[in-house]
Amino acid sequence: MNDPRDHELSRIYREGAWPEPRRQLDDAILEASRRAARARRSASFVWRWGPRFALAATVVLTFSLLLRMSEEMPGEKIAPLLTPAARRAPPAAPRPARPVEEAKPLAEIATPKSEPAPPRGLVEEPPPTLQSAPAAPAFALKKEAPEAARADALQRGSDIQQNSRLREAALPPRELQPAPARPAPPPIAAPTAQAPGAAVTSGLATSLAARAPGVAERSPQAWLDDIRKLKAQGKTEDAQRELAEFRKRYPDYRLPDDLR
Amino acid sequence: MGSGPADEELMLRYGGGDAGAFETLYRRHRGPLYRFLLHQVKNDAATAEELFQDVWMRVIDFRGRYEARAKFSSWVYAIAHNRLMDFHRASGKAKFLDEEESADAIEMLPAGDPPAEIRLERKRAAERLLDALGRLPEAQREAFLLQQEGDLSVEEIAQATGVGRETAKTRLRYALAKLRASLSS
Repeated sequence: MNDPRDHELSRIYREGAWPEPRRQLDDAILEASRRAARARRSASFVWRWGPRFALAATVVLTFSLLLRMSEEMPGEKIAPLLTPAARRAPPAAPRPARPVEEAKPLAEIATPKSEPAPPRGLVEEPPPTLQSAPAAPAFALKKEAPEAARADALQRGSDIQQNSRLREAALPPRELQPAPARPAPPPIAAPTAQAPGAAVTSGLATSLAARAPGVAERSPQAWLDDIRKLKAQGKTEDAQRELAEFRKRYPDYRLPDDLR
Repeated sequence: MGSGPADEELMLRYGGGDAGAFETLYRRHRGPLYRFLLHQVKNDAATAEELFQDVWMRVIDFRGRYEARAKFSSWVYAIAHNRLMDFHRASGKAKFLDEEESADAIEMLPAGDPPAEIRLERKRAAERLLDALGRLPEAQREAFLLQQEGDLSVEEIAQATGVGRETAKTRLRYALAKLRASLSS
């Protein structure tokens, strides 16, 4: 007998008590099995997709690192990656904070620091720098590259916009009115968007452009040289007039002895 | 065990996250496993429930490592057997009798009702059988219950209980002999 089995005994056994587990026990076990199955499903998702995501992330990270390294390394490899404009432009330096200037009036901001600006209001007369402004850097730029100078003027205009906004918050509205009083010539204003304060920007740029061919191009020393030339040519009246004009422009400038 | 997917397939599906497969599997085996445990702890329902829950929790825990190399029922009853051994060791009741002890046990079986009455009153006969079953040595009772409840063959009983085939067969034969004696005496 390979498998001893007594069917009569089995029948009697099955006719006996037939106890079963309680329903609460069934529910507890089945609930535990469902929780485990949910955990299994989420774990299998991670197992299935985790390595793929990790691989993709590694590829992207490696590629971006290589790209960054090739951009930072000097050499021929850089050239195709950079546009000609980007190659010409110097690296952008962080703009220094200008808390003092931002608190100053519009005219003071436009004036070079070497020149003490008279305490004039915006309404009384145009700022002196708009006519004289002998500061070398600004005009040098303008001489060499008018386009760059115009951009500089626009940049200054944006600074002015920012300052005017700050002033609007600090000053009564009455004092802000002069700005729109200054006419904005169309040639400069046209290409730029007319944002609030754009009139001031374009007006300043126009003033800079208008003085470009005349007096504004001369440095004080050049101007004095011209006066000397006039004197040498015997044009004394012209020389006097120029000198008077020069004194008006540069009241603090120490004149050379030959011109006093 | 009924129609439908095989137990092994259901267990593999559950290992893949199919909670419904486990439920089917559980419905199939809950009664037999519970009775197996209940008889092994002398009808102590509370202990039987505790062990029953433990066994199923182990099945759940092992879901990812299950391999269909043997019958699912053999595997489950092997878990139940190990759990019972732990329980008996912990409670100091572990006395799996060897064959000599079981020979003595046969003589300890009480005299039953007359055979005619047993045949006529099946219900009473069953009760007596269960009573005799309760007094069988644990190894023999286990072999009998694995055959009756788990529907395991001698080889599968041997596998589930971790003994040789001949040992399992002997235990089963002793158990059947004692139970028959209890009914016929």
